[in-house]
Amino acid sequence: MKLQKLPHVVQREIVRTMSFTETTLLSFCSTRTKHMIKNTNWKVPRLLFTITKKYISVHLCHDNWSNALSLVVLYVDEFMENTEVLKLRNSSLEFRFIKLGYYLDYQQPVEYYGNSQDVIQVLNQFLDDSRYELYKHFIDLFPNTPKIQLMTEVGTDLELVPVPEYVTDLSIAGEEVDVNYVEEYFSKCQDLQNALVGPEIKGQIMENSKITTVKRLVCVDTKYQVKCLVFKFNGQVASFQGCRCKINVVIDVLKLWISNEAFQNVERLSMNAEFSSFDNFPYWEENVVLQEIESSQSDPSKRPENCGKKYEIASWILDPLECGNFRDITRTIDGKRASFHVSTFDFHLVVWN
Amino acid sequence: MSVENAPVVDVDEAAIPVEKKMYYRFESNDKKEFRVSELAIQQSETLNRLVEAMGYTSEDVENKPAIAIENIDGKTLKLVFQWCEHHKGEAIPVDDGSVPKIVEIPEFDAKLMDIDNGLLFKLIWAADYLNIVQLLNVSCKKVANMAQGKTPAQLRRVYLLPSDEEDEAAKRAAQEAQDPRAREVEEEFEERKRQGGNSFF
Repeated sequence: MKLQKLPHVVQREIVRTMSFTETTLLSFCSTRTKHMIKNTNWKVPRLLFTITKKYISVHLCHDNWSNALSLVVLYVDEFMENTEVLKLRNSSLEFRFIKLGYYLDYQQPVEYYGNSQDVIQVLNQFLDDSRYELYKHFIDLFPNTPKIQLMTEVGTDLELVPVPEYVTDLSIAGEEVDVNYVEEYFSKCQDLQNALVGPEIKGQIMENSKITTVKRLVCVDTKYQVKCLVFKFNGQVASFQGCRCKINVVIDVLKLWISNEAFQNVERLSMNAEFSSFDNFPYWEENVVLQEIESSQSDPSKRPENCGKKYEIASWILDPLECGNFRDITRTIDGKRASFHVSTFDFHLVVWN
Repeated sequence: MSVENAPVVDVDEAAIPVEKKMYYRFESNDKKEFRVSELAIQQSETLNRLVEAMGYTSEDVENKPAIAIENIDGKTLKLVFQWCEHHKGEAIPVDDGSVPKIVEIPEFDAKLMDIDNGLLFKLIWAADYLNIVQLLNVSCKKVANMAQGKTPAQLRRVYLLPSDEEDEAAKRAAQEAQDPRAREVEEEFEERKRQGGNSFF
């Protein structure tokens, strides 16, 4: 079947009915097939690159985050047998392609969590250049750049992690991370809008840190950095998970907002507590907060059932909150209203526009 | 070829409403003639507009020459009209622009398209030319399915895709065929460079 002899409109229809995997692999066939794909107005809601020391995984994702394609770019000292040569135009780099079957698990020399069978191999010596080449290859497939997110595993050499100008969402994955590593990583992004920090941050977080000045932030393993992170946060939306602190931190957050001493930009701030017998922190209780903070019961006739928008922060979804049982507070200086709710494990603050 | 001897597409007459029971006659580029129900023709936007513009009566259909479709041969047209008759009366799908486009191939269509790639190529081309949206959808899906599970090298073989080098060579050859002097000038330029000349002019 001579695909490229068919009328343009037919080529477009054929590519449109292909799965993302086949379309992506077709893009590696030649420059013309790459242009053909771009001309079909190929749309992918999300493009996620996960960068580790040994490999990059490329995920094309649907709106609901289900994976439409997972492709692994693996760095090797030498190419495996039975690999196909892939050439990218205007590139001197050599890429090799192989499909690894599920039954060949033992042949997958990566601790890869996905189930992709499509693997592109690159020699370690070309690690730096190849990342740019691959980004470019993928970005060039779309007439309109999709939402692109980069996730980097702690320990990856950041000098070899290019962050292109169109990337606005960064994530970091791992167990523990030094604060300087996060600062360096986030500094690479020219227009950082959304950041997700998976590991526990070690070290002192400075004023005007890249972490706390990002517009939207999720810290998955906040732990004992809770005070530094929360009180220094100067963005719009934040979710601090796994906080190890007493309820006093929540009270202070509310006091600072009411007095306009902090959180001037906040639209929504959420904290989730993690208790352990080691800390012996008491569970959070709303009554304790209500004794300290002047508030009133939300009036359902004046408030929508759900408050706060749905936010997507570097693959982390913050759903709207049901605010029927929220309490209202007022900022002294300008009369601005906000609502909050405290339960044993959660605290939410939503500022009304 | 006379109308009596023309290959007639199987028609389920019971399924055709009385007021729509008019059969148009079409002729392929290899002079094969087909009778196609008015309802089946509606699957093709191109043919539907054509017959509407012609405003034929039942007598006209019988007495006037068959409508010639000059770009499509009889073998392909037979498949096209078989498809149209089978799907007559069905709504024409509206494209919602989604990617990837979800297309199911019904059993009848799968059997109809169980043909060699050459004929499939012609069928797709005809579906596009006659603007038969759903036939184009299913035939494109059939071609797209050929890519399933293939590596890039296998895709090149399945779709006969030239490499960049082959594309460039073909482009050069086409340019040379258009302007033989261009090649001569290029060779002269290369020769002068080899001889150490600083300027071509």
